Amino acid sequence: MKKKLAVALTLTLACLTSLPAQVENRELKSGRKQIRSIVLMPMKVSFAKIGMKGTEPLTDQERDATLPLSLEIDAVLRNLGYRLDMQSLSPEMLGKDPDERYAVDDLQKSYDAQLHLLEHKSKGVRKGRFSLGDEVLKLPLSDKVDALLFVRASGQMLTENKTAFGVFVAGPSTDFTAIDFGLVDAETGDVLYFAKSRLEANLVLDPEEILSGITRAFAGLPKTRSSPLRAQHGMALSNNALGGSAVESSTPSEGVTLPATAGTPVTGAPTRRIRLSSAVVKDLLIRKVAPEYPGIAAANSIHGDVVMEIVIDRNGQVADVRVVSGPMQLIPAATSSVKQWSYRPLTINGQVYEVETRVVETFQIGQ
Amino acid sequence: MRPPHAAQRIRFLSLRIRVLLLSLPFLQLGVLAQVKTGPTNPPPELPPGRAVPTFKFTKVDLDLLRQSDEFDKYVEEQGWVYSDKETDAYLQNLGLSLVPFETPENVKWSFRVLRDIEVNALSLPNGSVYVNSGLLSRMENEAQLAGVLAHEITHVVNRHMYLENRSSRRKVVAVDIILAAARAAYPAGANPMITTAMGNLLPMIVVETIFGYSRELEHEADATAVEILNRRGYDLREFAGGMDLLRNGPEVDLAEEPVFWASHPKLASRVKYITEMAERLQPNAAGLQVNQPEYRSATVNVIRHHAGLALLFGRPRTALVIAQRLIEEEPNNPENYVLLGDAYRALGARTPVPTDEELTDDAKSATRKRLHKMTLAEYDKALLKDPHGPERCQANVDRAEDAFQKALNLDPQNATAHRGLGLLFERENAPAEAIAQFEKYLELAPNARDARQIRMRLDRLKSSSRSHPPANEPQADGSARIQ
Repeated sequence: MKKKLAVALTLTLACLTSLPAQVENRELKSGRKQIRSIVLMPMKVSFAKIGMKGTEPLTDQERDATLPLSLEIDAVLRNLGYRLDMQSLSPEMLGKDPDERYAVDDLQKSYDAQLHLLEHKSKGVRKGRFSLGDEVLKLPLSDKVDALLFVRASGQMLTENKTAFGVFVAGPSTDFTAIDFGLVDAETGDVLYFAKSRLEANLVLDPEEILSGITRAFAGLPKTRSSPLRAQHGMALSNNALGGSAVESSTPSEGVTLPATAGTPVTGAPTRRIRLSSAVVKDLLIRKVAPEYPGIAAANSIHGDVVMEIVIDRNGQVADVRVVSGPMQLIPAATSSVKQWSYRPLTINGQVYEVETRVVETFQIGQ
Repeated sequence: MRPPHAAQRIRFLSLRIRVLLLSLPFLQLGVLAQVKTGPTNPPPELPPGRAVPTFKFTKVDLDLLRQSDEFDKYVEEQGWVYSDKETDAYLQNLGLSLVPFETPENVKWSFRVLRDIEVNALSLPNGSVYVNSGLLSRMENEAQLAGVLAHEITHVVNRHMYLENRSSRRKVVAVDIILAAARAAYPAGANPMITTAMGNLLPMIVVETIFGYSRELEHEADATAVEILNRRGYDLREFAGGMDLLRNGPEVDLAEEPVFWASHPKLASRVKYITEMAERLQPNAAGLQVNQPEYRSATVNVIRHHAGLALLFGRPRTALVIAQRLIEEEPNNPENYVLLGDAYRALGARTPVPTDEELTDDAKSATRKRLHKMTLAEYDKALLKDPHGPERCQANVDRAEDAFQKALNLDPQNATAHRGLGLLFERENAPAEAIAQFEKYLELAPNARDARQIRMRLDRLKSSSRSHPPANEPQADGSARIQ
């Protein structure tokens, strides 16, 4: 009897854990429904610190996590050929029209009311079980928008004591992030795609891990026929993220056009710092200086990667370099070259951001 | 991209289970804590008009004050605050008239409405008092609302949230309750967002919202509210009666609303206590203020708006009760009949009033389980399969059509009545009639907010009609009896 129970439990666990991380609606899979232009619904992010005394919500970090998360999602979707409008439904863009805010809020609530079923019965997405109905048509969006993206993220950060305690009693011992993505048809309200990402990573401090989780979450999304969207002038951000006009204003295949005033910082705005993955920041790079291979290192066939954490200041200059790893003989050359790189300043809605990111300088023999 | 490794998934799953199990004792602790904690002093006698009690702000208090200000901004941005000049002015004036003290330090009084189907009210230490549209739609007059406001005002004036927030145990419990609540599944149509999102911003609000303050502080707030109302000449029996109204709503499917004002276990004893106070302080009710017409006139817009929310979130019986009440107040307003028609249409296979069978504990539990596993659309379909489902649905369709026709009799150019009929005919598979009604609607209200929605439906119906021509043509006036 016990053996049977154990087998049943194992099978149940196997079934539960093998649930797909992404589920795609038939219409999307078959190509009958094609999407290209996606509008990001205001995302809900929660972030808490878990210590021995209990849990403390980190509201400031929650707010700060929203922008980088949007940018990482934008980078992933753009790479797949989708265009993400991060701005049209943001509180700033909705202005003072209460009806527009109500329409957005009602949809958020409708989505959240179905979220527990979406999470636990996500297979239903295939058959079109979940829908927000054509209430989506009440949103102040153009006809050219194909889908809406709902993002729900929650992160937990453990204190050192809690981590040690977790290891000792086999409890939670790592930072953890859970992100759900729901892609909803902008005409019918049907849920077209649902993906879950569960990561042993810190929502705020590990952008590379978060980016990789987002990439996996959207792995089931069909690639569009066009090539990945590239921003003009090496800018990684879509124009809407920078306070530009709505989706219809630019042709996706032409890449992203920045309005002349999009990057203009507001005078006197305080500088804020955000942490982004290298994939997002690389498109901001406008000047890269190759390192000089040190003679001694070349003579001794020393090669490899030098990994560095850098801070890009509000003028786009590399203000600080910290080496994470790499062969000792290659470090001076790597840091010296990286200090000469320059980036387009990250300015969003008049707010200038300092950016923390990771860069890797690769040294190969014969380079 | 490769999917997460199976072992990793198992680890994540077990981690989640462990976290959930670990949080359960905290949840129980929380329930106990809300009964046992709080100041041990007996509820003080607080005659209105005395000087503002002194309060020394600590860093923890100032943090809470900052969070409260941020919360105000957040709810505004999220579209949670209902904005209507008449309602706002009425609520603000009523609230200010009940403030018993000169404005305390770090308090700026603001009385506003939250768009929320839950029946609730809450206050922040910075002087922001929010009344849910769900509560306003349940109350009947100004005296009842004044009682709720005076209660919340007392929490602010007597710095109750600061006092509770200073207890680290309460705070820990607060966050753990939020985490547990966030993991708990809500039935379809229930609206966890405001409560959970509030929790992320201001954990103490959730505890006070769901469980209320400690028994002593709630008693103090009630006692002071009674005194304020008595001094202002409001009928205290209405305060008690208003609380009683909050206990039983028209919905049975979602009857367990996890909020303090609607379901606090001590609510019955509070009603009894206030009734006793009323009899002692106001032996003769003659000449006391109730102000029903003022209340109804000032809140009609928000109540109508709330009916729309109720329809959207699967509470058609709530919308029906509101529509019937509005018709009673304004029998010649066509919009009220349109709302009635919308409510009957949304009822589907439900009876307008819960049946005795539905009101048993077993039936309520079965309904909640059903809703837990279904979307609202699936639930409506499932109701149709019940033995009396089709018959009840047809009766509601007939009532809805009658209501829309009454609206058109009062105002033949009423656009929303045509929309209502169009939606009804569309659902009842009468495309030609639906097309006629939708076209009329768009002709009368080409710039309506839902014009695009209706245009899409119209296009779909026309395209479907071309492939399957209808058997019957609509009548000359565009209407049709649905069989």
